[in-house]
Amino acid sequence: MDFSPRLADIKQRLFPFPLEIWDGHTHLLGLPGKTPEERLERLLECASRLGIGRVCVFMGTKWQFDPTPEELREANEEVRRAVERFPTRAFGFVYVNPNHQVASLNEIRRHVRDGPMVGVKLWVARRCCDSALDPIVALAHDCDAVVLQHTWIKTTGNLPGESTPHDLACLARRHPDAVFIAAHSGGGNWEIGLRAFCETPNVYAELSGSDPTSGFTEMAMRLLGPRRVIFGSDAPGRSFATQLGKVLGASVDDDTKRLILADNLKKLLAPILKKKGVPV
Amino acid sequence: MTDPHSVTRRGFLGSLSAGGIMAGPTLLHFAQVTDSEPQVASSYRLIDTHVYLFQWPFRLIHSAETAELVRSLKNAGVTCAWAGSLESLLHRDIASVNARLHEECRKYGDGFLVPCGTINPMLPDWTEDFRQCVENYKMRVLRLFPGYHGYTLDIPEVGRLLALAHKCEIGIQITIEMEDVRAQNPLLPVKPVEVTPLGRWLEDFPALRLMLLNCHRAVPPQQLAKLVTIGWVYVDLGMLEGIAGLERLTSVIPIERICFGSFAPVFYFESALLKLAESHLPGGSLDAICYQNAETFSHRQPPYPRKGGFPMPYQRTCAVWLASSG
Ligand SMILES: [Zn+2]
Repeated sequence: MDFSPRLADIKQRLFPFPLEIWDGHTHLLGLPGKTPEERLERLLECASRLGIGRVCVFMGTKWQFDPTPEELREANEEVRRAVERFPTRAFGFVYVNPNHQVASLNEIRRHVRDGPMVGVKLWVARRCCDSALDPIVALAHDCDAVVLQHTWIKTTGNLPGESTPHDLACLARRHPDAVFIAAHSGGGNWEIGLRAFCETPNVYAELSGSDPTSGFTEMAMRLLGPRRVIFGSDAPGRSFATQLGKVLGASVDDDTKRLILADNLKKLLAPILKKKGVPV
Repeated sequence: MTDPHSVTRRGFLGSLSAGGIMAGPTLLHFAQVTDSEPQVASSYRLIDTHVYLFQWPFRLIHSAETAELVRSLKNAGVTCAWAGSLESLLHRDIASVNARLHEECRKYGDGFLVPCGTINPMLPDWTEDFRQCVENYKMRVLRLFPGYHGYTLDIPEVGRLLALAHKCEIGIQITIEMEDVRAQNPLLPVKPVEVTPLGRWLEDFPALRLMLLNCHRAVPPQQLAKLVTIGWVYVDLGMLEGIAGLERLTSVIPIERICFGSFAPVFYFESALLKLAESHLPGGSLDAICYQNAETFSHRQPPYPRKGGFPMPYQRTCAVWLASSG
């Protein structure tokens, strides 16, 4: 392995002061390993190289846009097995599908209310402004779980069930006491996406899953303030490096970097982690 | 009245026509003996092969002022940056784009910024732009933007341009894409460049040095591996994604073809630097990626000998690898 002084120099330049880093968005798909536990172990190994101490992980070892109740069960079982192996480093979010409301509520009860998971993940099965999400959000809120919703604005066109940040703002206004994380914050078109959250203080902008285009973090900061921006990578599909560079390379002060890289997410998850006996 | 440039220009064009697309010995000789880029005394070297000056058309970039960019790159440990011009994307007066780039690098870079001029082979008289870049501005690396200039790599003018670069020992960088198509301004969609035609040119010009910039999303690894077996094809780190991306990339192409290139300031520079720490690489790889390969690409150095690396020539090793990888 190349452990030359150069690597030490690079790390010194990138991390001139001690930093705690929590990654709010990772997956198991795309990692080597025969079992979900082995996959998560590989993910954590690579995360550690860049000082990422804790990760939120969701969805199983297959991508399913509109999963059946059976597929949801399978995906959540895989994530649960993995996070139970690393209970203080990896936090599971339960994957649900508003097209299967009863099954989704049961998954939340099984893995969040009665299990170790701490959040709810919604992807692209149905646009999140739909009222079908209301009971899901209400139950998540009862369990102190955050709701993480994928949001993108694609110039080339969204999937039929894919939410935009404006869809999420609409849902968040209906549930002012629930806490939402806007995964990707609109993705590559973040300049449009971030504007959607100016008037919804219960939505946190997450930075994962797009190219590391300069200005993203600064604009999120400018519009939402330092306490409503959260680091996430979307690894392993994305690189920890490219996504972390969005924060470490941003023209924001060191205190703001600390908030974005760990403190904001830690504050959101602290109540439910405490309930489950996980040290924060 | 005599045009002060006419002799140079006529000589240059003459050398082109004498051998069809062959460059004359004057230009070839010039490229070999010119060495305007200062050597860095320290053993620590980091060459960023993919940087831009001036403004990105679609948003204000904080560190895009040249003085600020130079300061931030130096702070991050970069010792030399190969700079293209973002004006190249949409401006049509490429000669003045190159003149401004040259002047800006001279003014702010103090040898730190190495200008990489743009050639648009769709423009009439593009060979004059080539001559100016090489003879007047002493550039050793030139950059192409086929997506933004509206051509594909199979047209005869690309062959002429690459032939000229081959003869003059000029490294050619081709930008495969500048941004995710899903994130483009809908009024200006630009597709990634299709690289398949390069195979033919690489066979025609065996000593040609090509570097594909921002290629990793658009060019599948197997296609990249194939191009690397045919000729001297290099890549930068722009748009290399996925966990431990460099570990995966080095399982597909030799480390000797990978150069540090950040795509700053359009992308956060730190995103590229962090990639070096995210992957575990064989001993010596970081020096190869950080400066040795860039020096080989720009004909400053013959290939560095590497213990345990891919032996020269690459062709055979890669062919064996491809055959065994299914
Ligand atoms: Zn994701």
